[in-house]
Amino acid sequence: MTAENESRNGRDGYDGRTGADALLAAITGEPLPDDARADAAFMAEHRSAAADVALLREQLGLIGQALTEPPAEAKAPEPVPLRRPSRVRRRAFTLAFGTLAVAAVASVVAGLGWLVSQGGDGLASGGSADEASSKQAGADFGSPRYLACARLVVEGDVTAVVPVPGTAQERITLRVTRFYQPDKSDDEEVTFAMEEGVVHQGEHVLVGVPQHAAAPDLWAVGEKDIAVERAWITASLSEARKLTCE
Amino acid sequence: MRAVLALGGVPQADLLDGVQQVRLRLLERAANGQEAPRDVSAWAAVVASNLAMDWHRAKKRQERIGERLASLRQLEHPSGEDTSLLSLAVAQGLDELPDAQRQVLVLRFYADLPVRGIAEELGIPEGTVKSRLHTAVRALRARLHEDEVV
Repeated sequence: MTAENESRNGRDGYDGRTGADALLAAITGEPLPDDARADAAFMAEHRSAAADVALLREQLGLIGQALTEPPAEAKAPEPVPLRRPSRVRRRAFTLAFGTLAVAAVASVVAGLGWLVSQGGDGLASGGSADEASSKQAGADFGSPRYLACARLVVEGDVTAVVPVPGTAQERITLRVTRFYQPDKSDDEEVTFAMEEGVVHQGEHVLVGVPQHAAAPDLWAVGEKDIAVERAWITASLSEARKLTCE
Repeated sequence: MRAVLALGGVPQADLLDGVQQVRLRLLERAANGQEAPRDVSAWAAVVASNLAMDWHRAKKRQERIGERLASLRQLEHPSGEDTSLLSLAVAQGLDELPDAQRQVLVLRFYADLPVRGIAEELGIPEGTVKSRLHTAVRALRARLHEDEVV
C-alpha cells in the first residue's frame, strides 16, 4: 500500500510485536508514548499502518457511496457561489456519481478538478481555476453544516512532511494545538495527505477534512489566514454541535 | 446510515426499509421514556450495523458487496479501470470478514466512532473491540498484498 512496504523485505505477516502494536495504535488513534516515538522502527511501522488505515477509511467511504447511490447518474458540477475574497487557500472537488475512479490518494489528486481560491496567493503548483461543486451538497465552507459533516477540523504545527513517491502528494503529520471538530480527542497527532508544497515543516496550519476523505478540502497557513477561518469556525461551532450529518 | 447498512451487506432494495427501522427504534426509545442517546449519529450507526448483521443472519445469503460493486463497475466502465481494482479488493475483503469484525471495522472507519464509543454502544469490552479491529485490518492488509493491488 505504501512505498515503505519495500523496506520490509517481503515480510507481510506483521507478527512482530512492533508491527502489531504500531498497527493497533494506528487503528485506535491513541497517542504514542514517548519511548515509542523514539523508536525509529516502530515509527516507520506506525506511519505505514496509519497510511493503510487512511486508505481503508477512504475506500469504505467510496464503496459506501457507490452502494447507496443510484447507478449511472452523472451530475454536471453545479456552480458554487463565489466565496468572499480571502487569502485562505481552498479546494473543492467533485466526484462523478457512480464512478469508482479513486483508488488511492494519488489518484484523487490526478483525477479531480481543483479549485484554488481567488485569494491570489500565487500557488504555483498547477491548481485548476475552474470551480467545481463541493462534494458534500450543501456543506458550504463557512457554515455549521461543514463543521458538523467534517471528520476533522484542527489547528496544529506541522511536524512531518513525507513525500509519497510516484505522486505529487505529501503525507503531513500535525501536532494538534486546537481541536474544533471533534472538540477533543485523545490523539494529539493527525496524519493526512496533501498536494506537495502547500505546507512545510514547522508551519502552523488549520485544516478541515471532510468525512470519508484522506485529504483536507480546507486549509490555512500562518496566523493571519488562520485567524480568518478561526472566526467563522468558532462562530458556527455551537450551531454545528446541534446538527448531525446524514 | 444507509451506507452503514449497505457496507454490512444489506441489499440496495432493502436500504430504505432498514433506515425506517433505525428511526423506529429511536422513536421507541423516546416512547419508553429513555433519554435520547448522547450522540445520536453514533447510536444510529451502531443500530444500523446491528440490523445489517441481523438481516443477513436471517437470510440464507448475504449480499456480497464485491459482486455488486463489480457489476456497477461494468456498467460505468466496460473497458475496466485499474483504479477500481483496489475498491473491489477491499469490498471482497469485507465480504470475507466474519460479521463481528466487519461490524466494528465499519463503525470505526466509516462511521468514525472511537473504540471506547463502539465498546459502550455494543456493550462489549474495549479489548474485544480492539482485538476484532486488529484482526480485521490485518486480514484486509494481507489480502490486498496478495492481490497486489497496493
